[in-house]
Amino acid sequence: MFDYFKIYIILKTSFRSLLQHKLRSALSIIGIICGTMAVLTMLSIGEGARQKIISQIGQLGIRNIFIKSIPLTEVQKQKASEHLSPGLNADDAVRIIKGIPYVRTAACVKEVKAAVFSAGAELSPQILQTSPEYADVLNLSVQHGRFISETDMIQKNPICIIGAGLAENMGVEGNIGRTLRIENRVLSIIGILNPFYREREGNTSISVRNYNEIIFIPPDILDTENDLTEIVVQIKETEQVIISGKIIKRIMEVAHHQVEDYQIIIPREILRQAQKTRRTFSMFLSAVAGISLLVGGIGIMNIMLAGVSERTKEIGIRRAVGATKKDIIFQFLAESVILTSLGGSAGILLGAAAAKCLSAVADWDTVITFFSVFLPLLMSVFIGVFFGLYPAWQAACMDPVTALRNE
Amino acid sequence: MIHLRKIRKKYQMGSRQVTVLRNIDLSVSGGDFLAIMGPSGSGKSTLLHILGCLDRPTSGTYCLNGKNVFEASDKQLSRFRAAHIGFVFQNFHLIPVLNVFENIELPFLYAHTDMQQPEMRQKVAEVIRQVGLADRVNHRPSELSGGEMQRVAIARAMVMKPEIILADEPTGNLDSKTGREILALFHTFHDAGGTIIMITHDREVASHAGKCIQMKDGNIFV
Ligand SMILES: Nc1ncnc2c1ncn2[C@@H]1O[C@H](COP(=O)(O)OP(=O)(O)OP(=O)(O)O)[C@@H](O)[C@H]1O
Ligand SMILES: [Mg+2]
Repeated sequence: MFDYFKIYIILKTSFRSLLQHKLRSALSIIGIICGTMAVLTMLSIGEGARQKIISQIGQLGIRNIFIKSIPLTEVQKQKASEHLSPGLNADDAVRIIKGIPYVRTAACVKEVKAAVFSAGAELSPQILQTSPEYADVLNLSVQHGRFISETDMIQKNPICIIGAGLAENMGVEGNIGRTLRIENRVLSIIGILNPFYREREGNTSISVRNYNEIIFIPPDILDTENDLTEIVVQIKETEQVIISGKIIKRIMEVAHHQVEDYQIIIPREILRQAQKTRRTFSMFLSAVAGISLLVGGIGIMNIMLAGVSERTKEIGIRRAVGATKKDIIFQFLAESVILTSLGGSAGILLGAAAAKCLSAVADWDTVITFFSVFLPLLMSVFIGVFFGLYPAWQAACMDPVTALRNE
Repeated sequence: MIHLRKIRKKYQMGSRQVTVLRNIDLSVSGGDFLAIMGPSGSGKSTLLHILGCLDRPTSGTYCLNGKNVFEASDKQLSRFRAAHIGFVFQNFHLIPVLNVFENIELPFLYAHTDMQQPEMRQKVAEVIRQVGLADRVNHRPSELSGGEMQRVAIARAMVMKPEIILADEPTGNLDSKTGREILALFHTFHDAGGTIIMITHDREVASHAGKCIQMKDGNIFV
């Protein structure tokens, strides 16, 4: 029969006993504080990194595969022409669409370096020649007007779609129906993209374009002879991405005669890789946490053993007024759990502060979740029970008469 | 109520055996006030601890209210102490971190009663008034005089309304006036039908008891 009244009294008494030796109690929980602090900080760094990569990959599209052309050195160019590699081109896209049943669609992208003028002022946005599928594949949407259409592509219409940030910078000139000039072509603005939230750069291989400062134009409007910059392939189902990636690799190897003038980036693969890294990280974390908590736990046990031998007479008194062995065990366990959970709570507060500092000072992404608070707290309670058990058991096994005779 | 038959208690001291109690036969009926006297080291405290179920004899039988104590588990004995036995010691034996009220409340923590908290608090307050410590409720033991501490100990022993109070030299550390006040509290308990077994070195104190037994070298002389 355990009612709240008894638990209250036991907790109150435990607090009193701990407060008898404030400094000693405080020193004994330093190990626990450090351990839980480390656990919380590391968990929140891990979680921050995970959320960042997930959101970056989300922006790239989990069902997408990117084939990017790699700028070649002179030696490589020599080799490429010897092997008759054509460079990244629209035929690659056709081959992939025809060759792989899992492909939903593909978009070709060409980065263009050219001067842009709006009402006489020169601007420096990124210019992308894209097929109409691009907006669909990368989940871009317009707030005004529309994106490039099939007709635009076939008829080579002199039109463009601009990013929200660019439109704002251009003021009145950035409205639909206005024109801007790229080199010597005048293009009318027919669409403005929705504002785009861009994750800060983390991993360069999965960097996301800044769609706020961008101009989209249909292919073949400007005279550019260089290769495609990128082909984005979208796969029908997420489960088919990895296998499709392998087939694309084969197709490209054959088409480019083994010349590696392209790079295949599979966000889903990167996500998998990141999860693997995270698992390694977690194991490392567990080891660190384990060691510091073990050391902390031994400190607690030491203090509890001292407490038991100092309070031999109290144990005798409690036994004389009717405490069972279990009552004594519970009393001392309550004390060690209070100690460790106080340490755990302090460690959590310090850990949260450390995580916030890292975010503010070192610009790291940290995210504190329920789990990252709950786990160290649970650990500290567990340490209290585990390392308090032996001293409590010793106290309980003391012979009441011997304990009472102790002065 | 209490029947001791052929109680022996031996201690193993390395290779040597020390016999502290030899063949003790003793009967105490409900409502008795018994004093135990005898020289130091004669085994009085040891006997009292056995009577209070804190210790077990090496051999012999101990029937308490018709039950054989030897057969009871440690847990059962603890429960029994909480509900039926009150201890009073020469050195008071109060818990230093608890105040007067909390020390007296202690047996309720271990006695498994159906009593609710307000009722317990009321009983504690009542016994505090009885021993005359109403204005010392929040004091810690270190802030009390010896007589006051012993009154707290008696209040703690009486709060559960036990059948037996076992007292080991309760007046040993007190002057004779304070000792008489303590004995007056024992008399109230005894008059209400309680059983008292009290160890003392003082003839005057022993004369308050209805019966007196003498112990020497682990034996009882009447
Ligand atoms: N744990 C033990 N181991 C060995 N001997 C013990 C132990 N406990 C008590 N004794 C011995 O038992 C004997 C009786 O002790 P006890 O405390 O019962 O004496 P007492 O009559 O109460 O004496 P006093 O009047 O001084 O309190 C003593 O000689 C003591 O040394
Ligand atoms: Mg004694």
